[in-house]
Amino acid sequence: MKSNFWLKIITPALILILGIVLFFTVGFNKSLELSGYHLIEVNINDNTLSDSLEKIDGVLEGKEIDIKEYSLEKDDYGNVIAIKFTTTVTNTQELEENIKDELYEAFGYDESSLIEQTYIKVSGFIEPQNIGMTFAGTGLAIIIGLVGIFVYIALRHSVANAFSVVLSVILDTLLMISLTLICRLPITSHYGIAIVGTAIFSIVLNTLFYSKLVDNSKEETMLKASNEEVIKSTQQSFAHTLILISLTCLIAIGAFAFYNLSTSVSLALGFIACLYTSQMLVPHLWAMAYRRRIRAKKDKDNKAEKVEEIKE
Amino acid sequence: MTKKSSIIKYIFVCIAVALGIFLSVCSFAIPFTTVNFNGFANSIPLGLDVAGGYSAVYDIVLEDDSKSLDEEIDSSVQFISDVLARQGYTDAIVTKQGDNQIRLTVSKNNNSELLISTLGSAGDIRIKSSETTDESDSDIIGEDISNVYATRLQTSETEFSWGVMIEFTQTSSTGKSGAEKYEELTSTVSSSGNTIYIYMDDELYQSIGGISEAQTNGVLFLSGGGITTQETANQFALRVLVGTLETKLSQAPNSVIEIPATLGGNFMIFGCVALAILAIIFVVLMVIKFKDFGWLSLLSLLIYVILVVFFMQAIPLVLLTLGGFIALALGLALLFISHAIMFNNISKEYSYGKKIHLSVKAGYKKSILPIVDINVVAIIASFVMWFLGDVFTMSFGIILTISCAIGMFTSLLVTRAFMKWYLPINSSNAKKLGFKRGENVNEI
Repeated sequence: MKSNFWLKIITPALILILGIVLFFTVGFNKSLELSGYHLIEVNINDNTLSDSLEKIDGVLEGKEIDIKEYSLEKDDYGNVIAIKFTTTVTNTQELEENIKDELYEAFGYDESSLIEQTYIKVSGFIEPQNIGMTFAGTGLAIIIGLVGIFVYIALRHSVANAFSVVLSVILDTLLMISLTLICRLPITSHYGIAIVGTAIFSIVLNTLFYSKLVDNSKEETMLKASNEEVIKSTQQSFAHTLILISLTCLIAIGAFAFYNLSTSVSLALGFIACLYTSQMLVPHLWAMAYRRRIRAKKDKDNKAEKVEEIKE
Repeated sequence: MTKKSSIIKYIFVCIAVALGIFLSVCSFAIPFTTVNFNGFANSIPLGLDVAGGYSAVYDIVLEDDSKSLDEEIDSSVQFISDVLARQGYTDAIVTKQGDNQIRLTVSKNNNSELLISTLGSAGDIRIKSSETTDESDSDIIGEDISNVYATRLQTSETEFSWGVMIEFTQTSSTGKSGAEKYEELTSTVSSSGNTIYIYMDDELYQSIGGISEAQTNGVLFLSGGGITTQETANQFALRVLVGTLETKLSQAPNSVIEIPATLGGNFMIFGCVALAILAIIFVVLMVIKFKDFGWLSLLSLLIYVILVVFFMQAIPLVLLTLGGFIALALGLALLFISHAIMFNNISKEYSYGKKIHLSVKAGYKKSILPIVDINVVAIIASFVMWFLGDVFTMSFGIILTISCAIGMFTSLLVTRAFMKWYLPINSSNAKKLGFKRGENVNEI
């Protein structure tokens, strides 16, 4: 049992190590909103959207631009295309001015006209949102939440149970973050949801599995059984619920993958990590805490004594 | 309980559910009044990523040239973000733009157009003892103020009025603190005139009379005049607070832009359809496996949906974002799991040889703790997110808290009641519930 445990911990350990290395070397693959971007807004006036996009593409072609994103907005004079981009060019002001001049030319706007000079706006570099605060807030929330859950499970079951649930929640969350780093999934401002969602899924799954494990170990038929047998029987009876929970939750988050793929994939990776931990590691943690199953034996002995007394 | 009374109860529940759905979805004018009922679902505030919003750009000018513009802009961005979050604009994003501008992006809730114009019209406050624009050392200015916030105070036995509470600084590195200056000012006016004057950008904004003694508590409650509602109080507080900054904000010309939902224009419809499909899958699976009990879970699900929608529009801090949608989906999944645990346990009890009503009783009893466990741990975790997360995590936390609490109530009380009412209708035909006896098990 013990050797199995170390075998099963190798995969998550490798993922964690790789995640830590990637975090300190290349960091997260941040989306534009988190890495900052240059912004140019073009009022398309009477031009059609497709024509305007063609003109913009024509202007940006050949420029040293890494990532670009368009979005359609609206101001007092009509539709506006917001061009967000990143660049490695050192003189970004010159690049922006060049793009601006070419856009004036492509759209045929008169830069000297008081109205038309507001049609193309160069906003410069938009500083990124502070993701550090998101991580700090979410991390603190998870820690406080875990303390609450520890107290709840310790009161409901035992300190050992509470400890292993908390441990697996931390492991699952870290695994999810590591997998995001390894898969180079772009993280957006919604990433906090993936962290929190994984933590909550892990808490629910592990609590449920642990309850089942403890209940099973107390069943009369299991009183003489070894830890391995209790775990096996619980895993078998829990398999149905596990499939049900996993499928329901994966369908639930999968639906939103169309709109925010990276967050949904991160969440799905987190859920997979939770499934692995709850089935491969949590039972071993339980077995470590109740290795000798002294209580069960004592209960059995007491029960046998009582039966004899009644018979007498 | 007779079969007839059970059927009557079900009919009443169905009527209540139909009414609940109508009130949740439909908007209508309330007869004989000028008030419109908007429907619970339509009243839920939507986040920037779901419904879009506005962005506005402000030019920043440094009032004191000796200071660093970069540093002042950074501290202004942080300060304005904090003030807006305190005023309920939790999803407002303030970022630095270019060298000397800041960009505000905010959802369409809470009269954001007014917020955009207010931020551009922030002014210097000056509290004086006489009605003159001449500056004096005894005047209380922006730097003497530590905080300004909208609040409601009781003005008579039955009436409350909105106003702003101005808190003065208790210490000062340069001379007298704001609280000391306020005490001196009120002491001066108490002996002559009894009135203090509040100027915004050298224009008289309001005068407060009836000051007969020196005020030593270091706070001033300002009400009446232009400040009559929470909105106007917040607006004034924002003007004063932003006015205390070292930087002066002015709205850039033609800079207010209506931005679309960051997740796409049709996300709302998609999100609702996705949740509906999830709910349908939930009910279909339940009906296939537990037949009549599956239909009972549909009734519980409808009550759950109505309650969740109602509480989402009733609790002021709820903001429906992508996080909220994922929380709703997870809440639905937890409701499904709770029902599956309960019905599975009942089915198991039946397979041991118990009669249906005894199986329901024993199965329900066995399910209480696991259902409470999963919902309580989810509530504990999500409740904390409510207070500590960013806007999306907060939205996720608050909506998951609501979903889990209502899910627990629905599965443990509502579904239980439905099962209790069901037993007089069918207490012997297990096939209608999809239950089977275990092998070689006889009825006890």
